[in-house]
Amino acid sequence: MGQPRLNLKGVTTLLVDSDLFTRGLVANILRGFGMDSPTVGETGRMAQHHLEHHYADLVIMEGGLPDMPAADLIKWIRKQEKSPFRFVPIIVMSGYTQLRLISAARDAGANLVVKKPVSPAALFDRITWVARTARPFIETSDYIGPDRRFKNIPPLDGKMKRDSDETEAADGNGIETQQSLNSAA
Amino acid sequence: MAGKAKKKIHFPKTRLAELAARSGGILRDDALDGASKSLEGMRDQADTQIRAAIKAMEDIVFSRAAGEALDDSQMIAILRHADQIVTLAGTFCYATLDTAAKSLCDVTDGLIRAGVHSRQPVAVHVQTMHLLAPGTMRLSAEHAEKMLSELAKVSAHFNFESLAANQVNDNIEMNAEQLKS
Repeated sequence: MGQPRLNLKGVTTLLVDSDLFTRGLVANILRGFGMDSPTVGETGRMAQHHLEHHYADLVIMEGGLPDMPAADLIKWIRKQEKSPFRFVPIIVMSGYTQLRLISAARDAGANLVVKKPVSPAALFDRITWVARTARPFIETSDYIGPDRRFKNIPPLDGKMKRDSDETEAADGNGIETQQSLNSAA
Repeated sequence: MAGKAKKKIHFPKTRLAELAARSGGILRDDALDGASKSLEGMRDQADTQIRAAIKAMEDIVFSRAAGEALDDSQMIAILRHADQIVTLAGTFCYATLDTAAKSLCDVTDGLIRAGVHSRQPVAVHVQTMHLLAPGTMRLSAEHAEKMLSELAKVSAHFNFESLAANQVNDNIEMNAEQLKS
């Protein structure tokens, strides 16, 4: 089989990083992939403000934002129940000194974490992954985000595997399915 | 049933998935080629950024006399500049500078955690990084390795855990080959 082909034209990206030069680096990589220029923000608050007024198909953020933990921004996004960006794919870029924050970002609901320096190959493969992989979203009292146990297996058949996995009946078959939320914008 | 956690499972279709699946688009090799060329055009700016970050660290370190300690904000500033250099050195393939910058991050992070703000181990790293920076005198590979081995001795003396011990372990790693096929 051939290599992956992605059509990223028209994908709107929100890039959040406090460092101007890093924003330029990542933006250049994305443009090299055929993507439009990303909207950029320096802080978590700027990202929240942008998302309150605009849509994004993809969020790429650094692991250590200057004004709030990246985990807080991710949780805020995942808790926007009425918003089309609630399920937006989030890729977190971790600097060398931010590697301790990785587990917090993942537990907050990030789709993927990538170590800086971000190579074109690493970023392209991760965008391909989040674009092509239908990963279930889990919503519990203390976690909203992609299934962390997911290993490229088909979606569940509606039967919970453990007794504690009591699913709130939402559509008659025990699984609440929300589709095309993101395409509403 | 009381005591059991409620859980919802969603299968969202994202607009990213819909857009990426359209016909046309770009092959992986072409995308990487385009991105690499785009990055290469930023090399001179990156070199300038690296030198500026090293200069900023030198200003901090040499603002204090040899026996004096650095303060909290200075240590944190060193860590921030060193982290930026790790990113840039890795992106633009300055391997020896990358090694030195990571070592500085490890030592500075360890010193901060230990509450010891010694200037000397930081200064040794910054001086070495000055010599390894792009656009400065070109060291022989042998000389560069010798300098890195001296930094390794400094790190070994303190024996702090490397920040690299915090691994990024994503499903993407195990599925990378699948993505290429």
